Amino acid sequence: MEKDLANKKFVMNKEFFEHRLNMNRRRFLSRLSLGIGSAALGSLLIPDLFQSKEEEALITGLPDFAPKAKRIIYLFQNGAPSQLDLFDYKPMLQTMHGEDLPASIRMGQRLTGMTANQKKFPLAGTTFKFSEYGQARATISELLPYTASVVDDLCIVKSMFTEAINHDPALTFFQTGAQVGNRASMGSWLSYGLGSENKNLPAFCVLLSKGKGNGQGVYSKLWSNGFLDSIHQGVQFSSGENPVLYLNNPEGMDKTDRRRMLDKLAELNQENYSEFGDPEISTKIQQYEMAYRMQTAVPDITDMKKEPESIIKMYGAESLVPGTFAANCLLARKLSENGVRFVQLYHQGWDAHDNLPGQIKGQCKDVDQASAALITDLKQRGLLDETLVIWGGEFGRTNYCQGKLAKDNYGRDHHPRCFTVWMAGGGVKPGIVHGETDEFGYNIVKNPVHVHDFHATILNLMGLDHEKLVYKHQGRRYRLTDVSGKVVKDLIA
Amino acid sequence: MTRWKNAFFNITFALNCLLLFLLLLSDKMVIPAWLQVGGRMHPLLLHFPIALIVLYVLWILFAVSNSHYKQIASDLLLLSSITSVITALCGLLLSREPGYDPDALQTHKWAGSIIAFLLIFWYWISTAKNVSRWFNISASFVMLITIIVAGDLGAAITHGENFLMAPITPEKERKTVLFEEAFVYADVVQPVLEAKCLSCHNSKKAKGELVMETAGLLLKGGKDGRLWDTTKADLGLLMQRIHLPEDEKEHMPPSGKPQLTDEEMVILERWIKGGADMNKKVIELPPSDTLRTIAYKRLKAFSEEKYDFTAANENTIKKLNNTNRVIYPIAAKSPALVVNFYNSPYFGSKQLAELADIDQQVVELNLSKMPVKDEDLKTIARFTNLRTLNLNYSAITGNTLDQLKKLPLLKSLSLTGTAVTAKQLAVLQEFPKLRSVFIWNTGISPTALAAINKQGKIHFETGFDAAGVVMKLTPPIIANGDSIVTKPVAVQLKHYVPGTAIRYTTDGTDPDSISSPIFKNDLQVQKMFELKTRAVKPGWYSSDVVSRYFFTSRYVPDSIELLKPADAKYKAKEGRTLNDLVKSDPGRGSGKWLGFRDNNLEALLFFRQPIPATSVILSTLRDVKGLIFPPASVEIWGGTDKNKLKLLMHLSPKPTVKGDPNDNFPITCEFAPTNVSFIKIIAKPISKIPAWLKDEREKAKIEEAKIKKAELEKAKKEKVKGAEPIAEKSKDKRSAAEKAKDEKPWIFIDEVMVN
Repeated sequence: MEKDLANKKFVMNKEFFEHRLNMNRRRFLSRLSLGIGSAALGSLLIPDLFQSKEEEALITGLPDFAPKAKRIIYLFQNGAPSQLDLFDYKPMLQTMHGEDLPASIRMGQRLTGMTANQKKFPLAGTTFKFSEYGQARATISELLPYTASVVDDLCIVKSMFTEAINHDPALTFFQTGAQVGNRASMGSWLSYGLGSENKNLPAFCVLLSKGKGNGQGVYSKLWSNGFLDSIHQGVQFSSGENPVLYLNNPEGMDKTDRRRMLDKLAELNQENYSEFGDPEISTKIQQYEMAYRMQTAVPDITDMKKEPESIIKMYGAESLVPGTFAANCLLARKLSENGVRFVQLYHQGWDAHDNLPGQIKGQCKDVDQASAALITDLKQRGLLDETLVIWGGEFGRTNYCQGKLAKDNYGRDHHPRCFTVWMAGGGVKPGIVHGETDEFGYNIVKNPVHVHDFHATILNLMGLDHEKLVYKHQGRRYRLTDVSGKVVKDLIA
Repeated sequence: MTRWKNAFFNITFALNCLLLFLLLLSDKMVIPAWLQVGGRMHPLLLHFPIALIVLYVLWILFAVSNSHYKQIASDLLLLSSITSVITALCGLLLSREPGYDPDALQTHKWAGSIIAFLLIFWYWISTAKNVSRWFNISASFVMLITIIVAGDLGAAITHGENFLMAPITPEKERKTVLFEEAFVYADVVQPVLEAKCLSCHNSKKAKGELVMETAGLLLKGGKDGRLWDTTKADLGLLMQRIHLPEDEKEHMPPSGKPQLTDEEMVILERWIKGGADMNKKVIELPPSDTLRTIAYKRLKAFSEEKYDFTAANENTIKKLNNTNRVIYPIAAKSPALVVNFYNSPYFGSKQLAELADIDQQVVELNLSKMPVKDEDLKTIARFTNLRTLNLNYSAITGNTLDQLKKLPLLKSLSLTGTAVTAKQLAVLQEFPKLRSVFIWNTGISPTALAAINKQGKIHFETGFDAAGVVMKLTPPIIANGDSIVTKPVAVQLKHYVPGTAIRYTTDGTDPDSISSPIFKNDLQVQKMFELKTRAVKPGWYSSDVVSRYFFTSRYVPDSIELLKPADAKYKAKEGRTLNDLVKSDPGRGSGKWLGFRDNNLEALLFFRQPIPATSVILSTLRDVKGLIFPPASVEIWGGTDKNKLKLLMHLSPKPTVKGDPNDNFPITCEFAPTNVSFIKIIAKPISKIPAWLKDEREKAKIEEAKIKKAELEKAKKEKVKGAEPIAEKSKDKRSAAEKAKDEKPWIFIDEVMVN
């Protein structure tokens, strides 16, 4: 037993020794790169090589410049809602209903395995009525009457495009800036860059809900901290009646006991930390402290009984049924109001490969009223100016039908080349429509916005320069926008 | 050698004369196509004189004086001279091509020519007279500067203005105009004129006697008269000129100058059409006005705040910061501070007063949900740089709101959910910078508000008004876990909307919102029934009805043996399915239903201890589309000896008629109390599907065949046209008997309960 322990200790020490050795070698090598020749070249390649020491380049916890938005609520419509049936009205598709998609429009672009083998690509015009709303005369379908009623607060981007064509990579791309799932999520980046506003709550919360339509999974890698410190990880709230489980002290333990226990535990952990220096240990200490503070902050937020009846009417009666999108919107407002930096909602069920008209009706019923209510609610509290609300999926849907086309029934496949996302509040221009697609709704003809551009813009609204928000990991600097992305100034008020 | 040099000099001189001649008459020059090629050599040739002059300067500065020194210097100068004059001539030819900005061209043309003239003069003077080295050095510096200037002017033509210095020239700060405050003319129309017209139509040049610098001069028009006339269909001169084809002489802006974009044309057209009003504000335009929409895109909606006070001491901020009072600068290196309070039990007037050390730096103060008292506003009034104040759901009564008048920069004030009254809000009109006030949920009536709102520039956000809004309730939630109970259990119903009555029935009828009993935690499951329930509340639409069958299973069989096997596709867990006390949902594919089609359902229930049975419930399913029907007949046999069972009950459920719901279909078989150890159930599927259904299916088939035929014919036609052939679908090759089997009805069962 003792021998075992000694052996263990030896191994540990050896690892530490090697770790330090490594650090020194790395430092030595990076200093070496400052040799005369490489310095000259390096200063061209890395513009601020001489201007700042990399560790000091970023003051985490504060924006680079005055932010327009302080917090984000992201209403992610998981599974990709059909832009052609909700926002991007294309009468051409109705007149050409059933005719083949012209090859000159498709231009041989990649399709998913689900329709690539289709002999024909019959165009499918929407079965829903569209009208123009608001000062930008935005076209919105009859499926979203509540959204249409707040159109003058919306900044509708009709020209989003992405690189991925299937759910998992596209979702991961939207959330982390890369299609492979090992990077930090958008919320984690914001937590890292801006810190938490209210120390009694996590900076990044995740709420899930399910629609009745064809669903696609969401998984914790989407709110993972990736290579960032684990305190930046998204905290998933439970969909049940108690959004945070085990918050109450067990019987026989009162607040002072809990405090003493945590103090003692922190002491032990601290001891461990000073011996091993593993940053995960200090994260653990912080998480215990956070949980302790959440014991007082959370019950107040998750208690819906104090909400006046007008709020329930605004969000709809579903907003009191735990686990629904409406309830999550209401909870998101309360969390955001209390200083949670990033509240991420996922609503599943938009993946309508067949029977789209039937499925989308239910989905819209789930989300329309509550999404619009969230905007009105933030507005009436004076919070919309500092809160950015985002609504959209991971890609769009095709203008042609997947499977059998009927007069009033069709399915749509994945379409990454154009789709619609809207934003509201937090420094975006209200009441505008940005970008345009061709008359078939297949390609973008004006002002395309790439996912990286979208990320760059959001970070900019939050007061962060997307090129400066970096984290060095495994020898390279990582950004949410990877190596590209430009701020779309036209969207910013 | 000297002869050659002389010849070169003479050629250079002649070329310079030609250059001077052409320069003076350049406006009249017409260049033939073949000479244009020469002209286009200009961007290539211009590098020679530059390089040679630099080389010459270096030579006379650094070369060691020896016999060759002067010779080489003079050769270099002559070479510079001859290349520069050729370059200038080419440039002159090129300048006649369209597409260049004439103003920029003019200066560059002269600068380039002057270089050529200076060089030949210099060469002549340095060979004719014995000039000192110092003359040469100073002359060469003059030359260098001239070249840089001329080069930069040339760069401006091809690459745009200020090409050289642009990366290090700070961008001019655009004046930010708020959308709410912008004028149509001054902030939308005038910038267009400035960018595209003013370079010629300014007070210095006044081309066509038109000056567009001020509104007054614009109204005056030019030598061809007034610029617009709204009575004309084409809106007058300005619009005519803009819309002429670009190659037309009269087209404006002239070809070669930056042209108006489509959007800019729309701006001018809409503005003129609307009467060319000089004093209209953008927000006075109707919301759907095109001009307003465009203006909105071009203007800023928010102004950038400037904070020019000194920052607070960092240690002070650190000391004041804690988990319930969070203080942070709005951005790195900004002196402006944001203060947020959290956790109301920790808040008191003291916590607010403690901020005295940073009262000049706080620009945002968030006291939402804190028990802020009326006298605390006095403290807040000391934060003279405060822009945003959030007092939502605080304890203020509004009596001391006038205290905040001392805040000269206060822009936004949130009073949602407080006890303020309309009367108290009147004082806000005296606040100099206040623009937005949030008063949702304050109990201020819309009429009182309309009265305040008329008075000034403040926007009062009243938010959502629920009066008259009627929404539909969600159905009640049936919270019981189990639908099958072995002993009496209370039904649990709940609804999340406070004040909702839950009405229900147990007899299979839909509950109404008036007479059906209201649920008061008093409903017990004592025998099988179907619970139907809906939520009701005044001011709301009643919810949809939800229903659920509750079953009792007093005696759970110890084992169940299927005497005839279930269909291979629907065999679930066989006999054990029927006594697992789990009710499945009505979906046939759930894997929890036993299906019988070729066989009767025959099951033997065994009890270790004899039981006094009085009834058996079969939980079956009806799904007309899936050809699943209640059995044609059910027989219940029972007894204590397996081989001597008595028929206890025989019944035939009502046949399915059109319109019957697809749902659970429990069958209760009651009989006189009998002691049994064995119960045998025999249920027979109906022999064929009901006649009405058969008719319907036949009709549907004929329809389908018709459509198929039409499609086939269409495909054939297309085939003739050379379209892709469509393979005919392979025909169903199964025998008629097998096909008939598809039409046989099913029995589905998932549970048997004995009471």
